[in-house]
Amino acid sequence: MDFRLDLDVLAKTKTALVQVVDELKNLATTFFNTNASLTAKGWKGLSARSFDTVNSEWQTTFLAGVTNVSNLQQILTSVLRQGTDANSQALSLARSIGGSSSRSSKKVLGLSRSDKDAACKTDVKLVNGYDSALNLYRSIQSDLSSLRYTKFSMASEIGSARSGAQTKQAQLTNLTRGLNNYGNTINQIEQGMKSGIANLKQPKGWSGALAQIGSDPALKLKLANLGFGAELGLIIPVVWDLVNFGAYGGDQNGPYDVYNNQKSNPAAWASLLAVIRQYHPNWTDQQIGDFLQKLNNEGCGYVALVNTIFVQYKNNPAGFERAFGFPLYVLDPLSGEYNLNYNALLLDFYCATDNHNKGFFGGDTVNPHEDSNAIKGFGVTATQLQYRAETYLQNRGVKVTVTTAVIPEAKVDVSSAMYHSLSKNGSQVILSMHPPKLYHMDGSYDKGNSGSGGHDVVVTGTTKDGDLVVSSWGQQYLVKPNDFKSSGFDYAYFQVVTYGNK
Amino acid sequence: MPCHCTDISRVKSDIATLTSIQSKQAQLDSVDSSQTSLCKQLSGQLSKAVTPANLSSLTNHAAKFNDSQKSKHLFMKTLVTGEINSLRQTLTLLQDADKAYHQAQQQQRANG
Repeated sequence: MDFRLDLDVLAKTKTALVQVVDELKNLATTFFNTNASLTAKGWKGLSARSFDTVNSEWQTTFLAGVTNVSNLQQILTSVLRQGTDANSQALSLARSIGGSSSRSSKKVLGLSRSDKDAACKTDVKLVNGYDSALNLYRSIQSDLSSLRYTKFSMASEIGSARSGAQTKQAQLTNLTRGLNNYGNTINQIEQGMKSGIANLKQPKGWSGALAQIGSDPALKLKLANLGFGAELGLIIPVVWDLVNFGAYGGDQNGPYDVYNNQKSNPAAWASLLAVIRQYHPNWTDQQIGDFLQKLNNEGCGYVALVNTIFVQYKNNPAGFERAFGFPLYVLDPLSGEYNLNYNALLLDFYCATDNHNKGFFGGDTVNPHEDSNAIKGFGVTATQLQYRAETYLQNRGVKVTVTTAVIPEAKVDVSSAMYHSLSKNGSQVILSMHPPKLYHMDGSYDKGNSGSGGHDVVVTGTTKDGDLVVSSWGQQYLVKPNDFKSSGFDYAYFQVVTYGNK
Repeated sequence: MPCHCTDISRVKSDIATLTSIQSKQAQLDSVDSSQTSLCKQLSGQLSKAVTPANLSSLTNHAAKFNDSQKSKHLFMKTLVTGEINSLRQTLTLLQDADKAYHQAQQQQRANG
């Protein structure tokens, strides 16, 4: 099934989320007021001011998280309403061909689009089959009217058969219509969930924190003492699914997120650690944590390149595993679903090429001073991304060329037409923005992920308004080429990734 | 005792017509067979395509969707076969009577 949704669990989750939001708000108020009163009354000096700052930052993040849960609750309410409609629709569907309309106690919506389409095709054949039967009835009736001696008649039998065939034709026509309507409703539900989740202002690490709550017995106990108990078991899987719903490309924070939540998802961490150990067998946990934090800080160019690899190999899991040594899909034990193995490939690419450059006299050199510090990286220039991508892929037997379509200094306007021209032969296009300006798919500006520095994203398409559809932070965003007019200070350029001998 | 030639001709025509209807009923059988097979196919596809579980009644129903038409066709076949048999008996009787009539006519002419 492409889609499955248990309405009963959804309804319980929605109710529980309402309670959770209230409890979290109360908890936050008590907690932050207590902290504030500490520095207001009993603690003064530099350390107290520092504590105040941390307290304030944490409060902002925490309240953003609470708003997030509240927004999730609203999404679930909307999904539940649509889901209930879809359930009624399904009952009508059963009635439409004469099946039972009795209500099931288990309201689980599900749809397999390929099987639905196949059923609709079969349905059309059946409708046509009854046309053949109706033609034969007409012909037989005509023959009977030409009988010369006998008074034999089958008028009532033919009438009954004709009426039966017509009724069945109508039912089958309804069935096709009903199946398509049901499919459309499920699509709307799914779209609603996707856009709802895409619009959540999700603090970084929030999804990991949820997973941690779900699996950390001590934390669970504390939360149970605060009044959340049984509902946690309901909330965590659903929220986890929703948070991960609609992943759109890799996320440069992905490996660091897995590192931070290794207790709750040890299998995921073990597979990433194995990748790191191939390159850095003696690193301490601290070094690994810093390295992953640095990837989060500077990894956008690496993610953009990794996304192009997944597009290249999406239908070739065997080839992917042969080239890179790990599977294209990986099972997430928390959700029980298979996801694209973005984190492993991103990490492998980063481990293999971080700070590597083409030497002055050829060959590969490593610049140990490229980054500001252990957790803050320099990022990649167009030339560096080209060198690192080609070196990494060619060492694994993958033929690729990376070119810069317009050099940054030329300050030529990027546009959807230029994207189409560059990608028309199957090449993929990476957009480099300085600074990043990202919009949600509903057109609202994502202030949190825009602003300063540079950012690389892979372009996946365009809209009719000429905007570029891109993948960033594992989600779908819009970029408006007009934000980067060459006459202004902000600029953007394209890099073209071409696989094979093109 | 009248001549039955006209009736015999009509009965033969009716038997031919009903025999032609039988061949159309054979075509209906073929349609039924195809429809039944498609219904089973549809049932399998529906069972994989959609939930909720109460839609299983839909898939069960789909598998037997054409059964009522099939039984109507079977009943009509029985009626047509019965009528053909009946007409064949009538034809025999009419032919016998007609034969007797014409023999009697011939006898009369010979005697005259």
